[in-house]
Amino acid sequence: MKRTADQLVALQFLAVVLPIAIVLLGQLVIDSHRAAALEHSRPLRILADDARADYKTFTNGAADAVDTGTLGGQSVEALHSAALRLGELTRTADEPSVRAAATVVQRLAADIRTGTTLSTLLPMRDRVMLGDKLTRDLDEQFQRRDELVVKDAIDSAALQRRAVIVALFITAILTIWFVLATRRRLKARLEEDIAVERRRRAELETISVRFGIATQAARAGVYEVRRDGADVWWSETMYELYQQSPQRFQPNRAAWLELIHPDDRASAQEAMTAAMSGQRALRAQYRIVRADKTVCHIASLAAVAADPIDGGTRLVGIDLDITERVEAEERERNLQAQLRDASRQAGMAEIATNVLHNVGNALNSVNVSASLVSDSVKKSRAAGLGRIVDLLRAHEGDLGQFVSSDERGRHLPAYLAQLSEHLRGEQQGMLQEIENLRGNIDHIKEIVAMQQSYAKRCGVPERQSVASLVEDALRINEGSFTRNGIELSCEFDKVPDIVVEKHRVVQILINLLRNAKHACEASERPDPQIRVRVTSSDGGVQIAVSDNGVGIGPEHMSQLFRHGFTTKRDGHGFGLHSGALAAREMGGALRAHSAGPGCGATFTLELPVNDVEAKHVA
Amino acid sequence: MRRTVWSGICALLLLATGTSPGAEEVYFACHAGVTIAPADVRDVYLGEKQFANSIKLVPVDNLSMQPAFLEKVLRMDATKYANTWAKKSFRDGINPPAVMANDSSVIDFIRHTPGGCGYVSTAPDEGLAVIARY
Repeated sequence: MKRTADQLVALQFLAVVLPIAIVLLGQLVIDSHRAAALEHSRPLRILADDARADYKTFTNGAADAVDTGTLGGQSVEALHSAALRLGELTRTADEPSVRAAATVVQRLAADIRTGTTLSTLLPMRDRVMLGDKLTRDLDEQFQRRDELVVKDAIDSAALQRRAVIVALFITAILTIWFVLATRRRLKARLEEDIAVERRRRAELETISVRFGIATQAARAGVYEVRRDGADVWWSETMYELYQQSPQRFQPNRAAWLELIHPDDRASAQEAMTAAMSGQRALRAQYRIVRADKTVCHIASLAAVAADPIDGGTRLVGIDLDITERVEAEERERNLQAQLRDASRQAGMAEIATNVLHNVGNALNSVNVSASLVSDSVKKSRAAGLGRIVDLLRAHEGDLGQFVSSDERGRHLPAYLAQLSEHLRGEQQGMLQEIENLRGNIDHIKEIVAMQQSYAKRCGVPERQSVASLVEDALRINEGSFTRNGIELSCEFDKVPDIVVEKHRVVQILINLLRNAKHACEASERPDPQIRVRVTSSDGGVQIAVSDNGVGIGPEHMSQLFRHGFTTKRDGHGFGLHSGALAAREMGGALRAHSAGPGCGATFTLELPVNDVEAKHVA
Repeated sequence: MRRTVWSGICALLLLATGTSPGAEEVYFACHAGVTIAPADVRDVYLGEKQFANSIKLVPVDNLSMQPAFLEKVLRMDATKYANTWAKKSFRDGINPPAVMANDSSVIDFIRHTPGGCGYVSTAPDEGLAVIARY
């Protein structure tokens, strides 16, 4: 707006000044030419006029000589003067007419001296008349020329006057036009500005109302600090927030700081000073002590802005009551601590469950072996040996007679031989079962030892060969596979080492192998098979455990990894759940696939290489 | 031409001593269309009047009739007439009238010269304007 008005004023000024300036400039140029012409013309005219006057004096003297008979000296001097002036005129204006007149007059001056008589003069009458004509023509010529110059000057002055009038007229027209245009434009702009200002005022009022509602709703106080804290303004909500009366409390920086909790006062003051001196945003949190002595947590957010009135710095901000939030955060912290404790206990329970699960699996085998040994002992024919001993004691005196002649005695050696053979068979069977029992007990010992070993390493990721992890898991299950006639096949591709917590991976694999064994057993197939395959995947390693057991129905696929879900009669529903969780925590995954019941199943453990390593290294 | 004029003037001076011009008539005539008042004839021959209605007058002297004309019209003798013209030519730069030998020369000059005028002893034929008779 101001810029446009300035431009219009400048245009008006140009409209007024430019025509006049052009005319004046033209006048200056014309005047200079005119002065130069006059300066050149006027001396020539005067010189020619003087020469003519001198010559006329001479001719008058000559005419007088008709009466006196002698030419006067004054006339002769006038003739010589005319000759000199014409000579001078020739030097200034070298023109044929000037040269001709000068020649004639100078020759006359050379021939005529003081005291010349009429008789000498009369024969020169033609030359005198010629000189008279030439000087007269010359005088008239320069007079006309001078008059032309003067006339030109007069005409030029008249032209200039007309030009000035025209310039003034144009200036007046332009001025009127500009004034009218400016008035119209300024009026339009003014109306537009007024409309804009009204809209802005309405928007400002709307914003103010919204802001008031928002601050009321948020219990936010608005403040403004000027002149380094000497001048402080508070909104109504600010007074409410601090529980101060607008009539009694005069906000200034010192009074404000007095309301802040003593422990937070220094930091609040420092934050405010830093914001105003460094001209950066203020973000502070402190406590205030309200009039009712309650402590309220305040979050103060402010920005530094230039004061539009005095150009100084002012801090404009809001104070938010965050007491509820702070208390909620405190409650949340407590809950999180409780949750951590609960999680820790759950973890411990989970570990215990895991150990019990694995030991329980081994105890199943122990129980089977113990039952077999017990049955074998119960059915043993060792009792027959006691009856033989009683029979032999009864015939202790005639043992030879009894063995050789008695019917029962004669069968005794054959019976003892049969009994011995039978007992040997029983012994071998029981030894076999005891061996199995010992193996299972060793297995339990190994599980416990391994669990203890893993427990010691808990949470320590290490670089591990995938093959060694699989072999550890297979070793634990090896005995049961053999006992159940399961054919185990392994296929290891060349894969990179991975950085993992060893016991977690091994435990997942033990569970997968044990589940595969159970699936094979449940299928009662004559050719149970378990296949372990290690391959590389995109950025990771895959360990797949496949079996040709009972398979998994599609209705069970979505629940396989849920805690407590199992299809086994003596299952706990924990192995796959814990395995999936562990795989996820290690950045991997545990997936299951089955074509359906009777079609076997494949469980694939996916573990990352780089990410896991980077994560654990970090 | 100018020598002829001066010779004529001298001859007139000689004739003036031997003849008496008082008995002769003098006719002043002009080229057709030139109108001059009889009172202006003297001024015309003394160089005082040179134009008649914007026509440049060209007066000529008639050698045979000059004494009579000078006596009757200009009231002066030949010497004074010559001196007057000498002063006039010095002062104003104009030449005295040319001198013709006789009437026929004068009439012929007047007839063929616009603005021409002169004096003769007899009334001229038609075609010339006779201004005055003395």
